[in-house]
Amino acid sequence: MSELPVILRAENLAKSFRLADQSIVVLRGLNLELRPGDFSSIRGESGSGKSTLLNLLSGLEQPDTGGIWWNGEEVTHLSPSALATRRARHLGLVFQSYHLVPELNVLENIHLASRIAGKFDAAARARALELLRRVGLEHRLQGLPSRLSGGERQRVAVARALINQPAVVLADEPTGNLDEATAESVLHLIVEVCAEQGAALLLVTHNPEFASRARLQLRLRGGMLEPA
Amino acid sequence: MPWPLYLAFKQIFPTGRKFTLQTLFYTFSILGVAMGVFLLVVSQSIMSGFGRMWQDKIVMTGGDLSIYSGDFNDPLIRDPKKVAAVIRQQPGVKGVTAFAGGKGLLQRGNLPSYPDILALDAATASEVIPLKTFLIEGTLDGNLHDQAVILSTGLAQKLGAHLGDKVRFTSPTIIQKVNNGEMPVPRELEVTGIFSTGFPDLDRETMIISLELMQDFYELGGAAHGLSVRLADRDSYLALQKNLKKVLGDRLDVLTWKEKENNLLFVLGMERTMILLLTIPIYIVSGFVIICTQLVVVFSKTREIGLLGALGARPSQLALGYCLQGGAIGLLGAVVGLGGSLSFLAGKDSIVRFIAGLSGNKDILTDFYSFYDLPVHFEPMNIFLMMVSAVTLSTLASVIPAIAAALKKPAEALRSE
Repeated sequence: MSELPVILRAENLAKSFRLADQSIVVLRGLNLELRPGDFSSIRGESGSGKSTLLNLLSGLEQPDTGGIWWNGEEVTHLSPSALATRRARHLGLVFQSYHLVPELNVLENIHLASRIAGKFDAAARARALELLRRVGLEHRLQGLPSRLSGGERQRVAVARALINQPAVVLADEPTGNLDEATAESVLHLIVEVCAEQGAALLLVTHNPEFASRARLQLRLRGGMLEPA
Repeated sequence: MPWPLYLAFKQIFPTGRKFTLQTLFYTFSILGVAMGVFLLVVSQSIMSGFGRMWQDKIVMTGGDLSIYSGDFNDPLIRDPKKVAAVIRQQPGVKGVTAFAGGKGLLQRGNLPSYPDILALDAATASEVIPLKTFLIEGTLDGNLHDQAVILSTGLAQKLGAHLGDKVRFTSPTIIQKVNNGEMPVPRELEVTGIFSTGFPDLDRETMIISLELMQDFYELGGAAHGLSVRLADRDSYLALQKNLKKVLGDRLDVLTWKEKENNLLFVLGMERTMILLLTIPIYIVSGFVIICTQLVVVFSKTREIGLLGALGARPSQLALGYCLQGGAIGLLGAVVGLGGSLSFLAGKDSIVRFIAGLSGNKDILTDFYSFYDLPVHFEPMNIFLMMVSAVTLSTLASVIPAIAAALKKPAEALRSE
């Protein structure tokens, strides 16, 4: 795996937030490399900056210092529109609280991500249906998010993250709201589908057992990444 | 379909959900726009109907163009037949007739009246004025001779005159004759018809006689006060006016029906404008309703906006989505408003009858306003513009909420509770 070129690289990332009169340093000089097909995990205490790191990597937030490179090209200071386009085409995001659009049914929620990436043809729809089958929800494609269980919602979110065949999937505690058995099946699904697609998976989790399945296991402590 | 438009419609019509609070907000916004479009279409169509009705009446009773003497010192057209022959040769002219007008004393028994006189050339009058259609009693065939008079309904009622009755007419030239030592004798005329044009000025106190009789009464010789011209294409009146001015020269004036009834048409135009100005605030209020609705939606959907940003929606696309949503609200409101207004206008007579019946003044209303014949005229371009303005206003009303959505930072929006 390590022979493959780095697809996403973060170098010397630093980020702090202001809270009242205080400056809270969340990340300080953090480095990270992701390669196609890599499965990496990050653990850390609540508030240690795990979600902030994912936001920086996906371009949802800007670092104070340091840089992010995508396929060797620096993308740190791209415009919000350019960063959005990169997210739509190359990144898949999975959140702890699913974030499904309540007005859309299961199929439409998944298809929305491909629409945003500019794909709304029959092939995109076929891929949405294939992913639904893959996550075991082919019988719920007309169901509304409000009528799905937590596990089902997260499966939909996983399918949505993967519909555009992203090169990198960033999963922010995707099993945090699920019971043990459901969490196990959802994690298994994410890992398996990412591996099938050759996508790099960066999993942020509190669960040591899940984190231990990654090839590269990291811990975020004091704003820096260290081997777990 | 581009996703901003797709999502805009999906938020208004959520999949599989019959009713949400958001649907209620959108429904009120759509109804606001619909109300504005409804009032605008109804009021403008009725005002346009009135305008059209007056135009019909003006043209039907006076022709599309009128020719008068251009000589201030001699208001008569001395050779009306020759002028009519020249006019008749022009392409686009359907008919020409000479006329004269004035006042006279008309009596039946001891009942006097001082009506307007409209004198028409019996041979050519029907080329321009559809007298037959105005007659409610009597016929025209040979009945506009030099012993005959046709009375308006108002005049007949005032004199208590019926078909076949004799009336006495005295010309204003009586004064001249008395001065000359003559003893004028009123002329006895037979009522050969009673007419109603629906044009109050004409129907009140007007008598129609032959031009020859008028020339005799007023000592006009062979002259007329003017000529009325009927055109094959009503809308070509400006071109024909220009052409006739060129052909007839400066000694004759050519007036269009609009110029002839300038004051009346100005008043109608003013009324229409005032009603438009009174209706526009409803449009503006509906715009404010949309702004409020969209702002509520934007703030209640902060996490979804964050999600869309996380999925790769550009800020401009987010803004476009809300603008399109405003446009969709406007379009739906315009369609509902148009549908409502067309239904209302289709059933207007029943509605007016019902309201008049409730007030107990049904007959008064009918007599006074001819309300059962509330005229309606649709101008497709105007209706199209009303629809477009509703959509445009709704879209513009969504600009502020759209900017608010576009300015949200996805990471912060996702964290919001």
